[in-house]
Formats: sequence, structure tokens, C-alpha cells
Amino acid sequence: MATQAIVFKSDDNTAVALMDLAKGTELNLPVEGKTLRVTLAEPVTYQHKFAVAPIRKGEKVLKYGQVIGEATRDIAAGEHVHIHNMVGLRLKAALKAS
Amino acid sequence: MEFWGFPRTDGTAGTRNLIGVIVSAACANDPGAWIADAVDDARLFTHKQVCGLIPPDKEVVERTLANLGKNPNLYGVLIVGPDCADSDPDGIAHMIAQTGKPVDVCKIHAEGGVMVAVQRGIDSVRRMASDASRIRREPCPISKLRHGVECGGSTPLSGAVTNAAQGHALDNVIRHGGNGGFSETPEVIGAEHIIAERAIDEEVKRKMLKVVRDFEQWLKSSGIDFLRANPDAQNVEDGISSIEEKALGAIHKGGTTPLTEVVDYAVIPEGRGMWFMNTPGNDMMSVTGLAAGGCNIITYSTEGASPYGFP
Repeated sequence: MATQAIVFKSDDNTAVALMDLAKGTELNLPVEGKTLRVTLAEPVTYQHKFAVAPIRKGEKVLKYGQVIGEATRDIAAGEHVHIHNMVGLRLKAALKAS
Repeated sequence: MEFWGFPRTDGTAGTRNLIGVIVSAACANDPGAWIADAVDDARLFTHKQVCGLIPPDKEVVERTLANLGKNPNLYGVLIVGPDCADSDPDGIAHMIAQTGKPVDVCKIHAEGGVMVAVQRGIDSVRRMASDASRIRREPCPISKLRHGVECGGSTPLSGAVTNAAQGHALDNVIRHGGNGGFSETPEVIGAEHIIAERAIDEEVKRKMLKVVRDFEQWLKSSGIDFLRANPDAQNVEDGISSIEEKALGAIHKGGTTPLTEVVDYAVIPEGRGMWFMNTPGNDMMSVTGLAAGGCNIITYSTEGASPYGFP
């Protein structure tokens, strides 16, 4: 079967969907020798992210092994991660300043 | 490793063997186009700049035109312009001639008007194209490759697919003694610390961080809400959630080798390895800067299907 999603680095708490994935999809995602088991809590569109581990509000969101922002509310494993539940650090700082 | 290139008298090598028709001021754009259209191997370089430019714009425009003319992909160059000293066709020609390549100047008033000038220009470009056709490709060392990498129309997978491929290609060119780099300063905002960490020394690191900081400051002072406009609506629809995520995708095209140099727009880098050019985020301006920087090969990845090309 074609690869359904990819986790770039073992530090990452997000994966990227490589196809449209339905709610309830069970995934075994290999990353740097480990396998992460995730069940999607909601549908995730191609190229969008979902959490592969719980991310608490205020915790950093990681992709490519790098910080891409922080959670604006608690995110459960398998949930879609996007602008509704995370914010970039630069944008957060700018919003605070203004 | 070698590539099949056209050796130039200044020690560089082209991957193309074209004749550049460069207008010194925008009022010569049409005559320049008529000249370039008449010869197969001619390539036209027009722009929107006119007389009355003041520093630093004047300096940047002249440097861009002169350094485009120096690009090793051009065998020879014809400068087309009005006679007025302000646009300085002779000055631009003089700078290009330092490479030893054939350079001719067609000053429209001195030639006796537009139609006469166009005919004279066509004759000159034909002669250069004929001379150029006698040069054959020969094996050239990879050290003569200068590889510019560019991307446009980011998606959440840019960093993993197309830009990763570009970065890998750039790493290969550099590993074999060539050089190359990337540009688009505002696209790096949010990931500049990662590039800066790869700098060969403190000075290069400082300059990398400075060009990004200055650009961010300049955006702020022009009243642009850059952080709320970037990622843009299409990026967000595609799944990019923050400027950091977008920038991290973009910098993958810079590969993994150390950052050796940071240069200003359209400046020719020394070319010791991977370099960064301080340019706007607009693809057309950025690729023009890379070409003026002497890149004889430019790769461009676009998931969003930008139709832009460069001669």
C-alpha cells in the first residue's frame, strides 16, 4: 500500500498526510527505527498535519525536527493540527506586541 | 566530474551560448525587443527603470544590468539605450567588457534614430551570434558551475520533496568543487537561525542574521503586516500553519553544506561554497539577482506552478 503519512524526525509530534485520510484510519508510522501507532480522530486532507503524540496547550509543535509554532489548546494524538489549534511563534509575538 | 560547457575568456564557462540584448533605460525597451526578436540566439533583458534614478537605486540597477551582461551564459552583449548620459550605456558596456567578451553599444540618437539603430543593432547581434556559433561545447570542471536554487508556490511538502531534491543537487555541485546558493530574504524569516548556524564564521553569521532583521524592519516600516499575510491564503488552504513552517520548507533547497558568504542583490559572490543573496521574495526579482550573480544554471521548483522562466 502507498505510504499514507510521513513523520520526518523522531522528535516531531506531527506527521504529514500523503493522501486524504478518513477519520478512524489506523496508521503505523516508521521514523528513525521506531514505529508510531496513531488513530485519526478526524479526517485529514492531503499535505495537512496531524498530531502523533498529545500536545499540551503552550507546547511546541515540531515538524522537520524543528519548531513550527506552539499549541493554542490541548491537541490529542490523531487530531488535525493547523491554524485553529497552533500559532507560529513570530506571529504570536507580533500579536502580543500590537 | 565535468559538464559540457562553453569556455569563456575570463575563466568561467557557460551552459548556454547566447547573445544578450540589454537595454540601459526603459525608453529603449521596444527597440531592444525588435533587435532581439530578429536573431534566434539573442535574449532580451528589459526593465522598468528610467533616467533620474538616485542612489542607492541607480547603483543597484547598473550593477544588475552589468552583472547580467557578465553572466557566462552570454557569449556577447549589445547594450541598447538613449544617448543621455544618465542611463550610461557606455558605462554598463565598459563594466561587461572587463570579462573580455564582445560588447557593443547601440545609442539610438547617435545612430540617427530608432529605425537605423534597430538595423545596426540587428547587424551587430547577428555578427556576434555567428562568432558564437564557432565555439563548441567542451568538458569543463564542475568548479565552473554556479548553481542558483529557487522555489515558488510553497506547499507543506516543499521541504520534503522538491526543495530536498534541489538541496541535494546543490550539495552535489558544491561537493565537486562548484558553488551556488539561494535567495529570497523574506522567505527565510522564521528559519534564519538554522541557516546562520551553518555559517563558516561569526562575520558571515552576523551578516545572515542582519539581512533578515533589516528586511523584517523594512517591511514593518512600510506598514506591511507581513506576518499576517504569510503564509498566504493558498498556503493555509494547502496546510501550511505558520511562517516558520513555510520558511523551514524553503531553506531545504539550500542543502546541507556550510554557509560561506552573504552578498547583496545582484552582487557576484566569490563562490567558495554555498552562499546566500539578499533579495526580495518575488521570484522574478530573485532569479534576476541570481543570474546577475553569475549562476550558469538555475533550478526552480514550483508545486504551485509558477510560469516564470529566465533566458
